[in-house]
Amino acid sequence: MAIKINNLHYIYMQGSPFEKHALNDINLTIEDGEFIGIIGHTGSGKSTLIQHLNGLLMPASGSILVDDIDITQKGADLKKLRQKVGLVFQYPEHQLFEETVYKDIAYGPKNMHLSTEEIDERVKEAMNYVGLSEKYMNRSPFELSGGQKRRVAIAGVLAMRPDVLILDEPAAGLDPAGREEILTQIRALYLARKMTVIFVSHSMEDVARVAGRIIVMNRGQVALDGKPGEVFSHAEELRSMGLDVPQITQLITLLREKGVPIDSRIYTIERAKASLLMLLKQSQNQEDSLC
Amino acid sequence: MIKTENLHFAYNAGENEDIKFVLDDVSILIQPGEFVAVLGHNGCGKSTLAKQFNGLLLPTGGTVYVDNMDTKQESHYWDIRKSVGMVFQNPDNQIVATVVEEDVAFAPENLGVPSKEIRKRVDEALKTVDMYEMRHHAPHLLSGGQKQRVAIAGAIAMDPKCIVFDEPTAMLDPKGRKEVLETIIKLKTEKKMTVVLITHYMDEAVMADRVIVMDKGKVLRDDVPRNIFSEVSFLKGLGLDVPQVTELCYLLKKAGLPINHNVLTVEECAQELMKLM
Amino acid sequence: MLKDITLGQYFPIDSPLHKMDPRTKILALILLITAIFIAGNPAGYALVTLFTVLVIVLSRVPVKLYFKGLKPIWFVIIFTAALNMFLTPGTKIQIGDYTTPVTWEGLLLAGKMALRLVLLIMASSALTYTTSPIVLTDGIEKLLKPLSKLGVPTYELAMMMSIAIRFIPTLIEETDKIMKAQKARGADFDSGSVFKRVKAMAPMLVPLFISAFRRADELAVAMESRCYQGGSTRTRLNEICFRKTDVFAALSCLAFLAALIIIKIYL
Repeated sequence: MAIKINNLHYIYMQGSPFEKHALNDINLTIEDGEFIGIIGHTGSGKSTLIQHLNGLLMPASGSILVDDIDITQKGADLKKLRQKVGLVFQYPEHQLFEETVYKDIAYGPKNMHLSTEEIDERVKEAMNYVGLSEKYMNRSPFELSGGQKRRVAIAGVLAMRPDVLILDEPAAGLDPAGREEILTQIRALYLARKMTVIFVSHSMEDVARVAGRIIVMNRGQVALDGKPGEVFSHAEELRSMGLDVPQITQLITLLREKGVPIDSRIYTIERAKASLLMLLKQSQNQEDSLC
Repeated sequence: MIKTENLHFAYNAGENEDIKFVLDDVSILIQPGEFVAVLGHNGCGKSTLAKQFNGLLLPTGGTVYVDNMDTKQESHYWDIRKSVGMVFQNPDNQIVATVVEEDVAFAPENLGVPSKEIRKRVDEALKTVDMYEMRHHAPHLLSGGQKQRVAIAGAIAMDPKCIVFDEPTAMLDPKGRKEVLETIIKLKTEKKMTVVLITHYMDEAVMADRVIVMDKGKVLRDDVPRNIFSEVSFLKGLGLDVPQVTELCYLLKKAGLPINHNVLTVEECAQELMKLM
Repeated sequence: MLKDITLGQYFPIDSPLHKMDPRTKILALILLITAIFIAGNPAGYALVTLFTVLVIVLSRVPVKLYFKGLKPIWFVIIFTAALNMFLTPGTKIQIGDYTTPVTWEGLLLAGKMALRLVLLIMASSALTYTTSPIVLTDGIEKLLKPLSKLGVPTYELAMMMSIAIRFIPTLIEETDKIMKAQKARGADFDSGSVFKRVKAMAPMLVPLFISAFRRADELAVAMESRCYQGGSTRTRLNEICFRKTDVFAALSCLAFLAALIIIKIYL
């Protein structure tokens, strides 16, 4: 499921005094099976962009090709599109409404007019993916903890078996353990379902941990696009956009300034540890040989 | 400023079921002018503790003293509310009025402060949080960080001695978080206020004078940040984070390097590493 | 998004009308509305129109905005005018040899009704453009104060009103978000029979109500933390008070009413 965005423009509240050019000439190609992180501060256009991908917003101009079909054309089958491109909003637990977890997750598949057996299979599969055991099926979603509610909501989208899964700040408001859990699950899901995942966040550290490609949005435009290491090496630029870089990247930058020959693309603790150990071993050997 | 003695609390106290203590024998002391962070994962009882500090909740067992007043004594009710301001997580759900300055005025209005004095307090509070220029704006058009600063101004206008922040940045983006944290630091350093910050972000707790670590309603640690964060595996076991650089030094030490892992900032970490180079 | 629509249409500038006490403005509006309905003859209508135009000028709000305010009710105006034109008995208008179904009396009545409606909307807009919702509720509260002696909780009513106004944009935004989220799960809000559509609303209404209750809960705690204790002892940041302008405005209103009555009786 490749997505191709060409010259996309979106103007927010066109014709009113609040008019704002929210997306300005976006050109992107998202390949099948990519795990993409989109970062940018509030108002950078990232949420506006993802709402275009499943036809919730329509652009002022430009085109979006999903599987070679232009979804911005009149008569495009948006219902079908939304089954293929699943979107999980921020704080998705705020959209739960059914009496039981089972019924809530079944809402999407039901709208697809599937058979009862098919729905049943999908609900169970989705619950399994998000790590909810079947004993929760008949519980009211409103009795669950915050983290569990969120997983029910994500399962509600997964049950439609989308080819592309877009998540807007899936870890917002969770504590470190909750964040870790959700991120691990999304990663596992990505590997198991081989779906395309687009992960929107303003936490660099979270994005760095899971995504294979990072797109940085700023003022309605794509500011940076590349592998995490490449993107984070633009630390100065990122900070000027009001974004934080991971502490490890900051450390590497500082060490390089002090003349330590370390790779500027390192951004995880593990790689930093390995590199530093190597470096220190080398310098120790040098000292030994000097003696 | 705030003292708890063997504080116990249960939401279902008085019912016949098994009593489940959300706060279990909490004894802490917060000095005037101190900046204390309370760290713990969701559901560890830290927000319940915060609500004890201004009498929104009352102890099931034990005592809470605010400025030497027992929160259980009804005669102190308003004095305690007035001494401890609260700022909550969701900026949208604590703003009452449709104009910024009207909202900041809400608490002094409730206290029956004369108009002229309210005006003075409102202007001063808005200047402290750097929102004076936007005093005539509608709150719903502000950013998250700005809304939260309005909420802080609303608490300051009450003229409290202490402000308790209950996860004030959980719903904000990095920019908003920075704005709010800078304001909190300003309250402590410039206004000499007592600050209690409830959070699960370790990078916020690092800035405090003292960190209290809570789990399952109990206080597990109560120490300066440097000592708290050096216990990397202990914190990770509680589902909490440590700064990335602290973890890096800790891992390097475990790998056999003679390095001090008692570091909190990027600069400190770089210095330690340079010693080895 | 919908949340950017200005609240209660308040237009924040400085004008003699903005400075007036909300109580004066509310009473003046009531008086003007009465006048619009008692004006019987052309001279009366001319006077009422003149007075409304004067108010609009004094408000310093762009006239364009007043016409914008009429937009949602154009249909009503045209519809009533049409009804009056065709259904009022009287002499049918002749154009050459053709007898139109419209009567002279109907045309006159339609004109009167349209004028009344337009003046009514414009006069009310003058109040909402120059008075912020908070000041407006304050004014209403003060005007209703005598009722509190009868046990009507006027202060609490005013507080409820201003909180409701405060949360309208928040809830509109929330509705928008929930609707989008359910659409992403295949919800269809705009097709099917009426019954089907009503049923389709549940996935939107349930979360909306739950969220409203959650907000109410949190707001209550926040208000309590800020020492909210009911109305009796509250003071205000901006106390509303009568000024010279108010006295002048009140007197001109009375003069206007007197003039209107004289016109009605003697002309």
